[in-house]
Amino acid sequence: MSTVLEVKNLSKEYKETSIRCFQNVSKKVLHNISFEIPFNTMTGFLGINGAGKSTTIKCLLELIFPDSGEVLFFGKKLNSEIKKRISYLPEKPQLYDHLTGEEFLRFSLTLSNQYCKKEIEKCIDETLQLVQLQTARKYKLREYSKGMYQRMGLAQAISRKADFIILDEPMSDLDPSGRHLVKKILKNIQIEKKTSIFLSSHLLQDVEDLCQNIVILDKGHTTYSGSTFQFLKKIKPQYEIQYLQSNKLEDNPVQSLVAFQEDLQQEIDKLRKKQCAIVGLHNQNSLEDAFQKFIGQKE
Amino acid sequence: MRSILTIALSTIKELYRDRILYVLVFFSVLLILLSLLLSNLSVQEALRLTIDFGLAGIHLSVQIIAVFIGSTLITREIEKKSILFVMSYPISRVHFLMGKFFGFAILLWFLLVGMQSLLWGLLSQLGWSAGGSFFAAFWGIFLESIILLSLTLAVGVVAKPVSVVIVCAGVFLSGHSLNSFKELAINSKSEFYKFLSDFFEYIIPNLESMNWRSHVVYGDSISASSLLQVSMYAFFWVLFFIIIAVSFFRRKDFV
Repeated sequence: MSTVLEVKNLSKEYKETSIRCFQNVSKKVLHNISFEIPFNTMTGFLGINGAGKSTTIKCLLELIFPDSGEVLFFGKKLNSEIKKRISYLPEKPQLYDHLTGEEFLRFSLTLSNQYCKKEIEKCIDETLQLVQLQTARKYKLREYSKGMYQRMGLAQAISRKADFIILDEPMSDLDPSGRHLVKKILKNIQIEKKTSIFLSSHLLQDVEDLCQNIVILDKGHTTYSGSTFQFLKKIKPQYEIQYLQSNKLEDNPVQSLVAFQEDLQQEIDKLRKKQCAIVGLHNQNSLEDAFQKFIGQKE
Repeated sequence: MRSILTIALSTIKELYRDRILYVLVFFSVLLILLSLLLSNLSVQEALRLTIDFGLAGIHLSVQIIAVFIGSTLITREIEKKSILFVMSYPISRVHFLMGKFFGFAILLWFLLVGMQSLLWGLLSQLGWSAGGSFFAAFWGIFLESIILLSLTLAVGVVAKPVSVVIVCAGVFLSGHSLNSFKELAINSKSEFYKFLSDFFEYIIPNLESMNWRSHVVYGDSISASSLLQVSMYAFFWVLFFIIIAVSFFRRKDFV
């Protein structure tokens, strides 16, 4: 068994009865989606707003019941034993605001049913230190800033002894240093604890930095599932060449042209022959660019 | 069992730190103190008035607390979406619901004990000593409150808090009118009214059967067998409503 999660033909349709029209209004959000997540990898879950990412994650954890399809964690259907090996951070988490930071972690660790009392206290100290919230441990969560709240959400997810962590937009509401901290924590968890991580995010630079694999969802369909490297290779890499019409730097405005990787040398040679000064060369082969192109191609 | 206890303790902490509870408790205490003022209206019936009004005030305020807070107990978790992270833990939906129920029921019990002590203290000042019926009356109020609480859960998993309050108010009023309706049906000698009265007895809990407040006022005793019988009857309704709540909650989508 080499996969931590197998999703097979998952479908979900939201049904709502409109009282005004006495009609059933339905919207199919997932269309037979299938993908796999290998062990000890970080997998990014990408898609534009409304693609069905959060619905998929909720279906995985049976917070929403799919109409059809199968979800297997470690080769088995979700049950309380499997749940002990999974942790989850919802999108824009709403935690128990009436509790203080340490009370909240104590509550979540007790609920995880993995630790004795002594271990819980030790784990609270370690986790709060990891997410840099030691000084706020006695404050109620309703007094936390957005970033602190998000980090506390992450704290409850990483404090459990989980083999698989599902994170829905863990870096939204975080400032750059907060994002840097979370990225560092996730990298360490994956490497040191050999934990598999499934990360849904709109921040593609972060996904590119962290994830070896990606799954792309578009309008409820899986359009790509595989390695990030292969995805970047699949979308023809492009380069932006910035140049001046002559060698006189002060006179000319900067112009640019886009060239594919195989034509890059030819284009540079052409510009040289024309006595143009090349002032910049930018790789447009980032995940963000590739994702835009990929989604554009599909449309 | 551990997960039920964890959820129950968290529920107690949540409600204990909720301002709404304090507002409702404040009005309950006010009602009890008001009963003392009312005793001045009549010299001969002073004690009886204080007992009657005090118990009625406690009864009403505990039921209001049970219904108003109970109506948001589950919906608040769903609407705030805090249920998403809780349900990702190794805890079943049934355990979550049970934890919520027991947490609030325990809190109601402590509230009731507090109010009972306050009334007892006031009555002692008037030279009255409590008998068994005084404690039985409080047990009756508690039984009624947990029936209404379990009803709020059953309705609350599928409906908005406003609808829950309306349903519970309806059950509260009709549950206290069942005996009168039965008497009316017997006196009318109409088969249809008799059928209706029997039908309502099956679908609405007879809350008046838990009302032992008049026993306290008139100093009547309550037999252990009737106490046990009514308790069993109340627990049956609690179980029935919890089963309904669980059956809806188990398949609910937390969108």
